[in-house]
Amino acid sequence: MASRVSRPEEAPVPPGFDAQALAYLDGLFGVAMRLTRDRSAAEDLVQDTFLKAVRSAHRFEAGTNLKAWLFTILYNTFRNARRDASRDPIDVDSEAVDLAADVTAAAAGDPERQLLRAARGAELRQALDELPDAYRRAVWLRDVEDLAYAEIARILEVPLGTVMSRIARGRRLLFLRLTGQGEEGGSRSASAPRDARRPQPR
Amino acid sequence: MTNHTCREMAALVTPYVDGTLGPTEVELADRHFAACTTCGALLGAERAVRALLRDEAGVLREPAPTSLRERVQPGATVVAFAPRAVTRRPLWRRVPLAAAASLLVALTGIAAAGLLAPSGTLLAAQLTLDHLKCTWLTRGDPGPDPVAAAHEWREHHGWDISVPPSSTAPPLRLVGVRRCLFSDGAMAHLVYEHDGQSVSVFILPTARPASPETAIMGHEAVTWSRNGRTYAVVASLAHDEIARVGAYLQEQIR
Repeated sequence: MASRVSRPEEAPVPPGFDAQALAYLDGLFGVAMRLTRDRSAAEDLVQDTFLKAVRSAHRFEAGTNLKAWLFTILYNTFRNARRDASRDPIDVDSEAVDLAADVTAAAAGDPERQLLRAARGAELRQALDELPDAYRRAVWLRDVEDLAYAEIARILEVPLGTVMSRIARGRRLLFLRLTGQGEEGGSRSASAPRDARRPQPR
Repeated sequence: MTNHTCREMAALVTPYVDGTLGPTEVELADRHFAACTTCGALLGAERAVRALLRDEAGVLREPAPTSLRERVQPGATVVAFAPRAVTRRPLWRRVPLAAAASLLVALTGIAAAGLLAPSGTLLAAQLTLDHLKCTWLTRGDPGPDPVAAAHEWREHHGWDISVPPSSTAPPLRLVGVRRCLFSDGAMAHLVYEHDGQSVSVFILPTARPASPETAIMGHEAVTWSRNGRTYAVVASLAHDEIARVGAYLQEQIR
């Protein structure tokens, strides 16, 4: 027999919560797509995220960032659903690659001007998808979703310093790729695992 | 990077670009970046990439599909956790309210029978939503190949399920294999059609004690455990019909 077949008190969902959460649907779907690389899996992930958000809406602290909170739930859901969650690509952080020399060579002119000819839209997304997961996730949450370092650290469950170094490396690597220097210049980092599910022996 | 100072300053490039440095650090950084080619290049590159990504953010995100938008609409979400609230808002326009309510009762019955303990009501509500959502979403689908679907499940989720194929007696048509929302997706949901009625088969990756049959308000559920899996068949069918369906499925799932 069930020990508890009904929840004692169904906590009310704060007014307007649904509408506010729905405003982040595209952003959540975009991240879910990057995480799962599969449309229907991404839809499921986002739906799970919404269900959990509504279920624990009463625990959301008004005045804090709802968007960051939703992304935290999404990442937690993703991690929990994966059997090999413990095998996040930590190793990318220990790589002694700062790309400084490569970037110096590549950014000799005016970097902004160089990127004017760079890929946009779907092609740019493709370039992002080719970054190591750890870098892309940090860069995406910072530059596409405009979240703060501390929020990203909570979402990704890594220290703040790691967030900053992943953003730094991700941006630099992306710059090299977009300016056509990625293959030779980023060869060391390009060998980092593309996907956490397929870690490479080191 | 040639000296200690430069290495230290290079660490400031990213927070500098993101505008999170204090005024003292900004001043220090400004002075160094103007003089140092390496740091200047890093600064330019990061700043350019950041600007590009922010400009393109709307395109990069990809708009959420309409189907997803409908699935997470407030009405749909609320019914999952607060079944009593269904009278407040229209929900699932395509699903008769009475059907949703009585199915919920049937599922709660399973919960009470111990299969879905401990959080019975919550889970029952989730299963209801999933059942309604899936049966609606898969309506009219040609249906997957059972062998391929089982294989795909194994690939994606790491544990095996049996997917009984469609049959003529009983008249069952496999229309979908999905991940159920409960427990972070650790439950498979097979959707069949039986003479136009939806039949849901939920598979849990653990064996649980279950009462063999539950009948509440016209809904029938058959549950059993075998080889470390627990199965729950839920449908709005007559007693003898669901018994036949259950027997067929138990026969197929070995």
